[in-house]
Amino acid sequence: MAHIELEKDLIAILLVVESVHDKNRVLYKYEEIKTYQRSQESISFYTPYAIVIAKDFDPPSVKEEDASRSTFLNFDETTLSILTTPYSYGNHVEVQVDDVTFVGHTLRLEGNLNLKSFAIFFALRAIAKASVILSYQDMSKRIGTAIRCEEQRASYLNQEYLKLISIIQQYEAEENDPANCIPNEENTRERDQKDKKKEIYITMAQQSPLAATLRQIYIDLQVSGEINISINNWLNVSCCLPHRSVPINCPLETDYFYNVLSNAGDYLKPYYGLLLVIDPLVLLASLPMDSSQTLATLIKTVRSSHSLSSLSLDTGIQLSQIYSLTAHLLFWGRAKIIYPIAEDNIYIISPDADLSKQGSLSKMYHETFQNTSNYPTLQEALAEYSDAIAFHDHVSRCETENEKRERHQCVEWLLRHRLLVQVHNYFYVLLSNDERHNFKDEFRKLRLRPSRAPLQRYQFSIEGFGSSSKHERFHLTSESIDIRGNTSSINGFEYNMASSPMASALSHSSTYNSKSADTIRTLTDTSHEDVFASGSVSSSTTGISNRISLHYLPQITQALPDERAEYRQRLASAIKDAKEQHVVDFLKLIKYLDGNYHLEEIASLENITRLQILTVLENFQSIVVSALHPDPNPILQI
Amino acid sequence: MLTNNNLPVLYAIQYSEFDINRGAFVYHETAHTIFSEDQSFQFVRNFVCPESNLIDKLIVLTIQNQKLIGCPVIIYDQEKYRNNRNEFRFNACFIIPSQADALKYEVAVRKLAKYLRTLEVDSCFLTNDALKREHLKPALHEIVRQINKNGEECSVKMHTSVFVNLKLLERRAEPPTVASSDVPMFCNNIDLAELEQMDQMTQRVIASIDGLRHVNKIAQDTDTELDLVKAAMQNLIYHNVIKLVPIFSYKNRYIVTPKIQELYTTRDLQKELVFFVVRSGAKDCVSFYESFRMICAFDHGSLVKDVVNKMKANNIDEKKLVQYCVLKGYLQRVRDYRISLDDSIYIGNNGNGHANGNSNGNEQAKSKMQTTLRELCDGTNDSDSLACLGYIFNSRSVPSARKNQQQTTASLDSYLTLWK
Repeated sequence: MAHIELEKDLIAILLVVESVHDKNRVLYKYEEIKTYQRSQESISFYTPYAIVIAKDFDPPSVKEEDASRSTFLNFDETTLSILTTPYSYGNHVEVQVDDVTFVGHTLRLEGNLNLKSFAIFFALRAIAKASVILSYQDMSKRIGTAIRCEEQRASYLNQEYLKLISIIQQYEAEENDPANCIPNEENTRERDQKDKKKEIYITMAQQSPLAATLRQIYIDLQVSGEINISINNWLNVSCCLPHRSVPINCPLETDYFYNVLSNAGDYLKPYYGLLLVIDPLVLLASLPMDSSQTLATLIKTVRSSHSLSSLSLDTGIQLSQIYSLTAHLLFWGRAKIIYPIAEDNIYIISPDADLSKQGSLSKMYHETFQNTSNYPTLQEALAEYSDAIAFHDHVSRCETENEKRERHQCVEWLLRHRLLVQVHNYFYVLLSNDERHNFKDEFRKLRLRPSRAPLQRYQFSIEGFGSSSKHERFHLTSESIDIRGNTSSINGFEYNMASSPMASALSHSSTYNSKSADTIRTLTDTSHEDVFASGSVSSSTTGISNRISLHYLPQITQALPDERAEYRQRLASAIKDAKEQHVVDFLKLIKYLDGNYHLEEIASLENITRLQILTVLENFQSIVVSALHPDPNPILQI
Repeated sequence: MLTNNNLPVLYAIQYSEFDINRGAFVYHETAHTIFSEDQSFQFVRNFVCPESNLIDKLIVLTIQNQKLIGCPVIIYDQEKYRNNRNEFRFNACFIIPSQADALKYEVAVRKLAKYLRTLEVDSCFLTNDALKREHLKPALHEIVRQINKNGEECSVKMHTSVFVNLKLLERRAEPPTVASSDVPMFCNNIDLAELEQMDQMTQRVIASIDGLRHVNKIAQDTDTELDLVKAAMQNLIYHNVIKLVPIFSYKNRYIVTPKIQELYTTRDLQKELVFFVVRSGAKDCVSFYESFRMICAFDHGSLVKDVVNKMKANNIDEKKLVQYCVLKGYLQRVRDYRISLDDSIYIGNNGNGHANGNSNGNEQAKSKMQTTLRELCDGTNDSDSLACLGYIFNSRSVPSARKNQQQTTASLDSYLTLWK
């Protein structure tokens, strides 16, 4: 399991100094002291019939969990000081030995009489991800910088150094004392030494505030992944490990979301909303004294139904600053990015939601919503969102204001715990006759090459019609369209007659060839009511520009300057029967119809309503495909 | 992902030794790196030929954008190294891009150290200057060249008849546990020539993989132990031969994933799709337009049969389309989880049964079945896994047991269905 690894990645914290006279040495070390008890291995009976599932090799994570901890225990102080010898100053340091990684940041002390440099090192299990190592290094740098400031202000480190070194020297003196060295059995002596060593670290923590602080850092990191300490009772240092602040049910890779969090500004959009994960009052109380006032203002005004841009308007804080504050809250795991809760939203149950009745979330839900009558259990609350229907469709059941508020709270809770995912409508422009999607020739080459040369009629049977008689009529139809295409006067006339492009096509072709009307009808059904597509495909590619109507071509060229000419022509022929106003509206939106923008996004970017967009697109159903899926932006998943 | 494919797999190999007069020094390196610069080497010297407490440990050091992996070796011999403090220290380090995963190289680095150690012990390969100059240098160059060429392995003649065979081991994720209701599906074309090299179990079941049969069915069809089939499947997943997809059924629901955008923009993927989903026996391939429309019609609520009826696509094999899209991640199965409601209802129900005195053996069996069903319906089992256990829900969501063909009485149990 992922979270077990996370909790166990830190083994120890070390304070290392390089003094002017001496070599590098470990001043203080803290690791969790545990007495390991080997669990009694179950007695296995040997049988030749037992099934042993063969594995190629054990990945490192499967190895004994405490393996790296015991590796670390076997390092003595000299080894540790060699390993942490600074090879460059002011840089992140990373040294891996077997399954332990030492990470830190060495800082040089200038103009100091005793010390050349110092560093705080974290010993981690080697399976730690690159981003985890980086965040520990950053933390080491922050703490180190604070200590250096205190050293310059009040020579804090020097005092602590002298305190700690005297304890070590005292210990060493005792060690080398011949009176103390009773000829003992080698084994017990070694154990004695180890115990003694442990004791002096305990003494250090009692006598030196710095050692006590470091111990506190280790404990805080193990418990919550966050530290909030003051160095020498003067400088406040607070930082957090993002891989611990982000909940464990986040589906993203550690390295990936670290990257997203570090560049959150690139992923945030003005129409996203902010949802606080913890109670705003608790959050305000937990802020340090010198925290920014704007952050407090933001926390006070934030509502789950407001977008970031409207928050910016409400509070008068610049959007860019809202972004950085949001990124900060995200980094600390205090907030979540959502699309603002609105009546039109469609929610589904998250694919990796924990539905089990015995799960911890069920219990938490029960504790939070004890007084509600509507949805007594988590499962019943989720059942409301089991089908992908718009939020306001649930409304009919909720009459009173109170119930409405309750429902809102419930959704917030479910979103906060990542049990719900919002899905959006995305749109794709897709022409059925786009040459780029035509694989017939390749297919035929692949399938028919050995048997026979491709028959002529296959050129026309693109939509998969088998009989040859249909093809002739089909061909005829396309002719009729071409004829009409050249006479622009008829086009204008037709607009008044037929409201939808499909209908006009049908009526027109039937005037030319009444016999083929049925064929066309079946044809339109199969090809999803897109008769133009079939028509223009059947005409040869060379003559296409001459034979089809292209009177919208200039506008299309304007809207899609980067597209290939051929595509523009096909698009023009596909929409040639639509009303002018529709086409103008459609071309305004066409740049969003590539599946990268969802309905709400288009609405906010173009500053029009969702309904308007849907009305515009309704007229172009044959070339616009809509799909319902969640927003892929990774920041929403954090 | 942090790994950049443009970087070489291996920058260089640095071979260094410890000399009593000079200390640690680089004897030979196949290319100039950050670690060969004097200033850096001063720092890493302690790690390259360290004290005896770090012997045989894998040491990884990162400076700027390069990583050094070494495994220091010390050979003690009072006779041989009389003039060298009775020991001989050396280290052959790999220098790799810092983004690369050091664990991948671990085996190769350790193995190279072992080879060199054996050569030194047997034939003074490293202490004899002539031998070292003649054989070690070209061999190291050849190792770097071969590994960079094919990206993972090399086989180089080092000295007389000693061949150095090294392989970089890619760390792959543990394969997931295989459920009885999972359907294995090939994700690449497999070469039948490789079939003979597979183990017996795999050879037996691999022919049954068709993208529609689930593991339970494969076990039945091939008359094989279920657990063995699962183990074989797990192995195939590990080697990236197959992937698991859910069972196909016309009653299934699916939802489009954001990956569909990739399909919309990438022509090669479109081609693959179009070639795959064509109904067998059809003369021509389907149009991408039609297939794409059909994929987008899966909107969480629609059943497969609804989509098929709505689309009326002649040449598209909907089974192939759905399974292919799930395999490629364009579609995601929306599973249904039955959840039994408040347990107190059940207890009351059970009590009534006993009070009426109708509790004959059959009744008891049925109520027992319902108890287990109740326990199964706690939100952790979807209908597929329940079906594999023998419980089938019909459309009115009253559970019945397949084994027990009797008419199920309309139970008072109420179940909630969650789709996720």
